[in-house]
Amino acid sequence: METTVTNQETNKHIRELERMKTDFVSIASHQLRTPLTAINWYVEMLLSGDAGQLTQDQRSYLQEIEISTKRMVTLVNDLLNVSRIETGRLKIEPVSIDIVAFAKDVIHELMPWAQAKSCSIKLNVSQESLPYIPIDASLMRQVIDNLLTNAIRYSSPLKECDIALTLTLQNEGIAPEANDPFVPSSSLIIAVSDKGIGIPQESQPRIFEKFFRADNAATTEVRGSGLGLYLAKMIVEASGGKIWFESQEGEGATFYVAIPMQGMVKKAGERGLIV
Amino acid sequence: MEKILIVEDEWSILKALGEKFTREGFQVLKTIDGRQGLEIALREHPDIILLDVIMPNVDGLAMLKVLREDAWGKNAPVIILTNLTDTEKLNASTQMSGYEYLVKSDWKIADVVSKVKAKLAQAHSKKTAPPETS
Repeated sequence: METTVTNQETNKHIRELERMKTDFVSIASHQLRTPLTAINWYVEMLLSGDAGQLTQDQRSYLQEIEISTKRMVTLVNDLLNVSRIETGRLKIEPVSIDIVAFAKDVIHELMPWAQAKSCSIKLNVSQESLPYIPIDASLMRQVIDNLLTNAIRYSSPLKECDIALTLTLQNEGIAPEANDPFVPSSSLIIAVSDKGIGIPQESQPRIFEKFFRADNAATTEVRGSGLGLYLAKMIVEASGGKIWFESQEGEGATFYVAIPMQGMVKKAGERGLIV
Repeated sequence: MEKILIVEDEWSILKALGEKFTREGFQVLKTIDGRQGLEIALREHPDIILLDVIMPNVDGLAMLKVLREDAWGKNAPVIILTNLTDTEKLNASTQMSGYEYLVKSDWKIADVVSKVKAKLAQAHSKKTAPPETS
């Protein structure tokens, strides 16, 4: 009897510690976002010439600040979402959006960093008219952003850094896994491919684990947090989708995300919002 | 010249927005507190209000609630501007009429300006639309 009471008390104590940890992450994330927003906005104003003409060096230094603060925002968002996932508070709020415009926007946001690393990001769309897709834009932005960020971060110093973001429909056979029974039968497939350092065979089974980093990742100049792929998997699966990859060490990697398209509408002349 | 009221307790954010909207040709009214924000809004009748959520004294949602009880304020265009990621609090705000929000850290300041202009255009078109006849 005494043992049972002690166990109950221990469990209660653990739950309380978990709650405190979650609250701390949530508050810290919120408090970090405000100064980061201010930095981003002032840098944006300076770069857009609001305070006068800039020299080439001034512009270049500001672009470095811009890239770094964006990475910090991503990290803070990642931490916040990990906290939400682990406490069951992650909410998926899908809205039908123009997926091509959305993808262009995500790429546009990453371009300063990509250019600084001499990387190109090409958008391939399999057909002229893609449907509007019901997704949680904020969370899906985080998924694609994390995949593209990895593609840039783990580019090979020995090869051209050519990255491709491809949007295609499930039945177009972009990858054999797209016909996997666990992939929703009607899906949009988002593929991010690179020619980077790739993922060693022995690291592949653990690549979606929290804080896991492949052995060869330590050789790159920028350390990742080890949260990006973990979060991508959590978000995609919470959205009813699936994520997987193909990779060979030294040859690059392709990550695939399948998003179910229930409620889709064909993109016709006018923008329509249909869920 | 269109008049914008910015209610935001974070000085650096308030200053950035104030300078950006001034540069965009707006008459800018600004304050760091919801109580003062309400007073200014009811006195000056701005064309649009940018409203932070978490503020000392009277927070943004409390200010919005009182504003919506006023004859002018019930239809005043408001955009809730927040870094708040607490969905419960945001969901509470959705129960109020005229609600629209953006999460500051997800937006560029140029996009905030675009959003405000779009909201103003929407408000103008409502005002100038002919009354519906049965």
